[in-house]
Amino acid sequence: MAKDGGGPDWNGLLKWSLAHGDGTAKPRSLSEEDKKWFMEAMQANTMDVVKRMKEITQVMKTPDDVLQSQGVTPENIEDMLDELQEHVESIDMANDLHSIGGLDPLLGYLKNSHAGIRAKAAEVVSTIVQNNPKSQQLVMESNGLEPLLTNFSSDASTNSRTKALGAISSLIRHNQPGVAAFRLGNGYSALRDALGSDDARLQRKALHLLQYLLHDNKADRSVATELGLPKLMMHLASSDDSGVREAALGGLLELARDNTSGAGNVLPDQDKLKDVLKSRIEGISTMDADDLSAHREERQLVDSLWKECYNEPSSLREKGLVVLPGEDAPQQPPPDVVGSMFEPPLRAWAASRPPPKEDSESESAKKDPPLLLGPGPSS
Amino acid sequence: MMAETGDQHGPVIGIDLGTACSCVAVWQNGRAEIVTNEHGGRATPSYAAFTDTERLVGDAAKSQASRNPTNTVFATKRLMGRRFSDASVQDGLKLWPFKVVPGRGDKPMVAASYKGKQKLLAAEEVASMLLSKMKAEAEAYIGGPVKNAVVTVPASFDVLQRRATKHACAVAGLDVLGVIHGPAAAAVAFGIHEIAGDKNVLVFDLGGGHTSVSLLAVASGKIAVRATAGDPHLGGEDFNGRMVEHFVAQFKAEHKKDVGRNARAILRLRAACEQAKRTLSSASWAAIELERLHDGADFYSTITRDQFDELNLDLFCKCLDPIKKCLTGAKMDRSSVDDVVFVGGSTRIPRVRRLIQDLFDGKELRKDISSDEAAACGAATMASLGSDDSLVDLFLFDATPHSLGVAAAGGAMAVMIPKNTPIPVMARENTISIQPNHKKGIVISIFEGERPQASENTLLCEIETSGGSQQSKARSEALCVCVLQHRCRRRLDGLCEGQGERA
Repeated sequence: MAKDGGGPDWNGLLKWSLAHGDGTAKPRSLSEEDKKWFMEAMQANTMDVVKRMKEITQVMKTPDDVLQSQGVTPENIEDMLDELQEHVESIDMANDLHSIGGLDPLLGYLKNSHAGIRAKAAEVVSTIVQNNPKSQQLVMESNGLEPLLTNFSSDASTNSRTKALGAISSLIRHNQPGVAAFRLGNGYSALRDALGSDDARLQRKALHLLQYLLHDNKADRSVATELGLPKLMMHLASSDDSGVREAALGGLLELARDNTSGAGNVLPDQDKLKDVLKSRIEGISTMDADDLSAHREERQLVDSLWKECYNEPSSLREKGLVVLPGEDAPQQPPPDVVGSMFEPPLRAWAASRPPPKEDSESESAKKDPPLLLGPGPSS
Repeated sequence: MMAETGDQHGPVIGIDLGTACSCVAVWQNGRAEIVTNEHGGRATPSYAAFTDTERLVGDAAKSQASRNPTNTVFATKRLMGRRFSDASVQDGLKLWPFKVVPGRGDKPMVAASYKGKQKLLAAEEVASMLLSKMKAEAEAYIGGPVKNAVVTVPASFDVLQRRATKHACAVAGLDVLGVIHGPAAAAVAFGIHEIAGDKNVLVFDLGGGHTSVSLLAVASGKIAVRATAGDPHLGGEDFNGRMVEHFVAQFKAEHKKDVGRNARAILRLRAACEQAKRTLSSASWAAIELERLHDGADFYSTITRDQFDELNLDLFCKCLDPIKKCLTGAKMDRSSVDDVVFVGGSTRIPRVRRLIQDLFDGKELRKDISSDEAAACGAATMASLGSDDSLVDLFLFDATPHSLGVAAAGGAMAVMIPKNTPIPVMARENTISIQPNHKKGIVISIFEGERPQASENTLLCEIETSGGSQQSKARSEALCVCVLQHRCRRRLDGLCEGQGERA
């Protein structure tokens, strides 16, 4: 936080903060003891978390020029936000940030003039709202999605765009008003631009969000198709980055499983897709044991996508590369009377499909195999 | 246990002292209200910490745990009323980052560094720090002093553990009007005692660190505890742990790096899993995304409810064991249960509820009263009996959580009062032979537990008597009754001086 030598003018900073904190207190001279306390407060890690969050809130409410004039650098602010992120990893602290008045100034940092601060603020927001319906609602009510969409679509810094996308994903997952606002805010165009960028991390995050949107919001499939996203995903399925490949394959699998429209409408270039999958099969076939283990997800996705499109198992299965010896078969859930009401999405769905019986006659092969308790037989 | 009546001075609070979190409620404006702390929180982590400059309790203690692990103490409920050599304490030593050493009389003591000096603290002293904070929060909430409390304990707590809990309250400046089962208090919170007619209610409590079940008989506004059972080491945190293990394995497979050795990363992953677990209660899947989790690598994964259930199915089934034991203890079959009350955050897991529903042959269960704060509210409701005339006259009967007995000849455990016997106990007449230790009298050791050898059970107290053997036998019977009615050594000593006197 504070650097050695030539540190910030804590006296002026505290004076200004106290004077503007509630508008009634008179500024007082900062004694050496007070200065020592404040510096310790900025660095201490044994403070009461809520008290600490209140101090951070006070700093975030201080205008940028005042901080700058007191010698506080953008790096100091980023370090402070790092600490805040650690505190809000606890869901109770995350929800308390709003009640102590810290959420709005944090969202204000999304518009800060320094890219590093914008990125770090987005990362903190992402931590606050991930799997946290209460804070998701609070951020939506504070109109937090708007600066995130602005940063995601047009920030000059790629890192800031990536972090904004991460925050958007956490904010709108399992949050229908968030999804609707994302659509209205032209989020899909920004997703397309992200897929077309040359940053693998940004591509990966965009694909993960796209998978969610395609699965849980069927109305969005047509939007995605109109924007040409399927073609982009097919292209990315050949990416050098394995995470990007996996995420792209997952998105394509979502589209391929769409039973409400003809496959030809959803995946326009069947020949190209087949070439892509064949290429991946060749790539997987040349992997050594360690690589095969690391790319288990990809193996299963390629096989599932092939089955979905061409109604037959891929050659990976013949080569014994979908499930390796000693490896558990894709995990099957225990019998579940209401399982049909909660279909497993995304990768888990791909992985959990039971393999068809190869030795059965063609007529009985169409029947779904019975669900088994625990993992299926290892091949 | 019958709540004390008589003149009460000032408000009485209900405290739910949980393994993971604690909660306090006060009877106010004709109802039980949960006390909120200075930043609006309603549950306080059951943590205490010691630093070079100060002592921390609750949120403050928990938040710095990752930076000060050896001096941050939690789960003290697992130490209170125990011996260092107890199996449950020995098991805990393998998991706790703080140090526990044997003190006088094999009492487990927590070793912590405070203001640069090494200190030994009893579990009761640590718990009293937490209780003091809750007392202070209640006083701030009410705007006046608080001296009296009703405290909940797990159903599995024995006499020594209850005594230790009372002692911790006394150290914190609280007079304990009653120590009651958390599940029974939870049932009271939801008006079970107002049921018309006779009903059997099963209270299923699945918290962060424990499982407990109580079978209550409700009749004419009175609640009797028919049986209790529980697992003090099984709860929601274990389900979380399975998820963490699952993702650690996945990260290792994908990135070929062992994130398990990165303490900071594990803390982040555990916090993310806790929130994902909540999402899985209402959605069929959840995503976890952690930037630079380990060695600069990002982590993204999804988990479905089915996967979560599969990871934890054996633990879910283990949660059902106390239900079966409870029914057996009460000599009751499943069809006799009229209602099931869910208490504790982990009862929101859909699979857990479904398993219990199946156990009761699909009977419709009460699903609208799951609450993390039920026990504290119920304790406050009961605490209000002596201070608010508007409540009905409520008597809550308790049952012995474990069998009580003495050592017979040869050291065998001679059970005088079996487990799940309602309290107060009517006089029991059992003649047993006791091996004499002294010519002038007999030392009677009273044990609590279910093991066939008396010395393997928990020694509650020893009574030294004098006089003839005939009188000794009579006194031993009386003493066993006294133990349950008065729980006071001094009173026991007084009664021992009587000639053939019985309670």
